[in-house]
This record gives sequence, structure tokens and C-alpha cells, in this order.
Amino acid sequence: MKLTIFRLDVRFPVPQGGEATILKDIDLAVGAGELVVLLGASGCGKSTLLNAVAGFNPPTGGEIWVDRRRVEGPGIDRGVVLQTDALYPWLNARDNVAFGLRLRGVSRRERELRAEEALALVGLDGKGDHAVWQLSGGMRQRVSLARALVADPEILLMDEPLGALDALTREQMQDLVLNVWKRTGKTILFVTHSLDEALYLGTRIVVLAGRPGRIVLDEASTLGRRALDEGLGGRIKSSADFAEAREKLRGIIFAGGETRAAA
Amino acid sequence: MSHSTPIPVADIALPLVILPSEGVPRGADERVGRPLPAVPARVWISAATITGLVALWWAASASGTVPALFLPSPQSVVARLGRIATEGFVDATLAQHLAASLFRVFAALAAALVIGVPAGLAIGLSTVGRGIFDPIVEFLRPIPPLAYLPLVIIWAGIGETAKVLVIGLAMLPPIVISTAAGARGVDRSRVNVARALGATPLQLLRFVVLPSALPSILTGTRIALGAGWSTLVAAELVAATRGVGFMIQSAANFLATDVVVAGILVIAGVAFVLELLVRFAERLLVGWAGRS
Repeated sequence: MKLTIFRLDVRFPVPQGGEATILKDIDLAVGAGELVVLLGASGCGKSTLLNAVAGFNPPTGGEIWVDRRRVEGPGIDRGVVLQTDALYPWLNARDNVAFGLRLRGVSRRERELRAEEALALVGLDGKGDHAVWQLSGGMRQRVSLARALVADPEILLMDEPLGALDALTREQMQDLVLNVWKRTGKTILFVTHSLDEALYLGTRIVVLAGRPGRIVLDEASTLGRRALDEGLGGRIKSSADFAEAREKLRGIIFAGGETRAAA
Repeated sequence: MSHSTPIPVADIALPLVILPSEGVPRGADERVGRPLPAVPARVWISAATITGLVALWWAASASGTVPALFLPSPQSVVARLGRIATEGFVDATLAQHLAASLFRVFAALAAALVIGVPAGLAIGLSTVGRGIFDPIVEFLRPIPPLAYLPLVIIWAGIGETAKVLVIGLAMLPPIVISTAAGARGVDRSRVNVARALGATPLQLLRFVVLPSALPSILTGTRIALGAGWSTLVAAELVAATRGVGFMIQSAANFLATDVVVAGILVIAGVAFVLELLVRFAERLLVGWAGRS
């Protein structure tokens, strides 16, 4: 297993005193090369789960393992792409991508070479000299993705990376994510609240619901792969199979929330 | 954007200078062949105001309404300025007076930055740092420099140290406060991304926090330069033999009003140039600020 989450609890202190439990008893095992989509309504804890895997906030209980190393904090084996591109505006696109290499003391020549490779992988060849503010929202997220990829992480953690983009750019970026995933073979944990995005991207869909959040569905998804294999691309989203899967998923998300509320 | 945008002090203070508020990207070739921006109406209005004031000044002295002892004519002030520049006043030329004053202000600025930026970062980034430095800054901030001048002289003597110290103390609070605000406002995601890329705490400071806070630090520097420059005259009141403030002070003793007015104009002119320098530095260093 690439990523193993074992009985994870996350609690945060609340201003009124006491603690709020965000996640309780989460178990999840992700194999190498899987593209796991974490799906759920706002506030179900899916970003909290991703942040725990990234090591940004330590779990209150339970364990997270990447390969055979226990997660104790952030590390270069886990690359992150966030909803806000979080680029460094004082650096141009290439230096943003090369940022991680610079931290590790890689020589200027080599890091520029590798940054250009990563930029080409996300379709931004020749844009290295552009200032961040000269790039569109979609391009910025590509730079952000390239920045995570250039460090060659074991797992890519993506927290609603396409959430701030317009609908058309978003569709293009979904294809880019699939493309990068296919070419690099990375293990990806992808957080979204879009049903379409989950079905189109994921090889496996994990639905979180309720407060505290728990996993209410964890199953393989083949629609995205079919779109790839049959060359359908985004058109599969208007197929009957896709619509059926979407409705089923919608039912589970809302039912998951209600049973918890009733309990 | 979470970092604070620079306070547009200069926009109010410098109506005569036209700088495109967006700045110019470094090495941009679009500069070539771009037509000069049209002079905005407010610049004409400001120019007319200044012309009007000088005309009033001229009329008041030329008509004899106000005696020359109280208000020398504009021409005599300009002539006097020329003579100070070539022949000097109280054993030093204008350039020497200016050099002495500028040395004090820039020595004080360097000291204030060396102490103020780390202190500001400590306030902005750590609860302990905030607990230590915040009361000191808040104590120092509201005190007029003239109030602690006697104490500084008792402690540091009447030499150069005391003057630099007084100016530096006046410059410290704006630099500390703006650095702290900049450090506090650093985008959480930017920090997290760097941590995921393996940044050590020191690297976070050097590669993420400092550049993020730089626009704020420059704003603080701009305010500090203003504060320091206006403290200058006070600092040069005691046992100075050179300096623009000293020049004005000794001219007043001789009732050389034209020298006093000339000195005031020089102080205003230098402040104006300093302001331009900081704005230039801002465009050069943080041209990205407010654009992403």
C-alpha cells in the first residue's frame, strides 16, 4: 500500500472551549497508481483529511503511513496542490516550479532543466519567463501542479485544485490531470465536491459525510477509464451510464448526511 | 491577497509626480514605443496652487507689506541658496551640510532596519516575540523624539551617536509595526506548500515570509524616512557643527531669515527625493505586489 490511514481521528479546540471532532475512525488504504477522489459536501472533513495526510495538522488519534514511513509532518514524499494556487508572485513561473529544488540545493542549471520539463508536462512549455500575474487562473494551477511534480513525490495531494476555475477551463484541466496521472503513474488523492469531476477522474471514489465525517462509500469507478480507453473524453459525461452513476452518488452523499443528523 | 497594500501616502503628498500605479515589469519590452501618459488634471491644479502661493509670497515681500526680516523675497532666498551652495554658511557649504544630515538619516535607517525587521518578524510570527517586543514598541511609538532627546544626550553624549540614536528611535516603530503586519499577513497556503516541498523553518523565513512581507517593510521604510527626516532638525539642535537642521538653527540666531527659508526648502526638496527613491525601490523590488 502506498498510503495507509489507520483509525484516524482529528479534533480541533473550539473558541467556546472543548473540542470539535471533525473526523472519526477513518480507515483508508490506497494502492500505488490509484487516483482516489475524496467526495463530500462542505464541512464533511475531506480537506481536513487531506491536510492530515499532508502533515499540516497532526492527527489527534490514529496513524498515517506512506509506504513504510509514518507521517509526522509535511514531507517531500507528499506534494500538494491547493485550491488557491499559492504561487510566489515574486518569482516567475519557472522559479516557482523550481522552488522545491532550490530548497534542496540543486544547482541552478539542473533545476531550470527540470522545471522546464515539468512545465512541458503540464502544457506550459515556453512560459517559464512569465510573471505569475501574467498567467490566467488555469495556467497558474498548471504551474502549481508542475511545482508539486518537479519534487517527484510519492503521492500527489490535490485539494479542490479546480474549484476556483471557470467551467470550461475546469473541463480542460480535468483532462490535464488525467493526462499527467497517466504519464507519471503517480498516486493521487483528489478532493472535490463536484460529482462529475469525481466520476470522470477517479479510479476509486470515497464519499465522506456527516459530522464528524466518516466514510460512507468506498468503491471503484470505471467511467473515467472508459472515457480514456474509448476516446470519449468529456463526452462521457452526457452518457446514460454517467447520469445514472451521478444520481446514485448524489443519493449516497445526501443520505449519508441525514442518517448522521438523525442519529 | 492577504498582504497589506502600501499606504498611498505619496499619492497625497506628491501630486506632481506621475508614476503609473501599476509599475513596469522588469525588462519588459513593452516600454519601447509606448506613448507618454497624459498629464492628469490634478497635476495642473497642484502646479497652479504652488505657482499661486509663490506669487502671493512674492507680492507680500515686494509690496513691503511684510518686512524682509520676517519674509525675504523669493528671489533673495534663491540667491542666498546659490551663495550657500558655493560659499557656504557657518564654515560649511550646502553640500557638506546636506552630507552630514543624510549620513545621520541613513545611518539611523540602517540601524532601524537591522533591529526593526527582526523584531517585527518576531512580533508577527511568535506569541513570545509579540509579548516581548510589543510593549516596547507601543511605549516608544507615541513619544515625540524631542522628549527623549535630553535623555539620549545624557546617555550617549553630544557626539554623532546621540544624533543617530534619536533619529533611529523615531524610525524604529514604523518599521517594526509594518514588518509585523507583513509577517502576520503571510498567506497560510504559501507557507504550507513550502513545508510540503521540504522547507526548514529558516528557509520558510528566508524564501516565503520575508519576500511576502517585503511590500509592508518598504511601506514602513517610507514612513520611517519621513519620521527620521523630520526628527533631523531636533537632533541637530545640540552641539552640531554641520547639518541642514543646524544651518537653520544657527541662521535663526543671526536672524538670517533667508537662510532659514532656504534651509526649509532644501529639507522639503530632499524629503521629496527620498520619497521618489523609496517608490523606485518599491517598483524594482515588489512590482508584483497588488497584482496577483
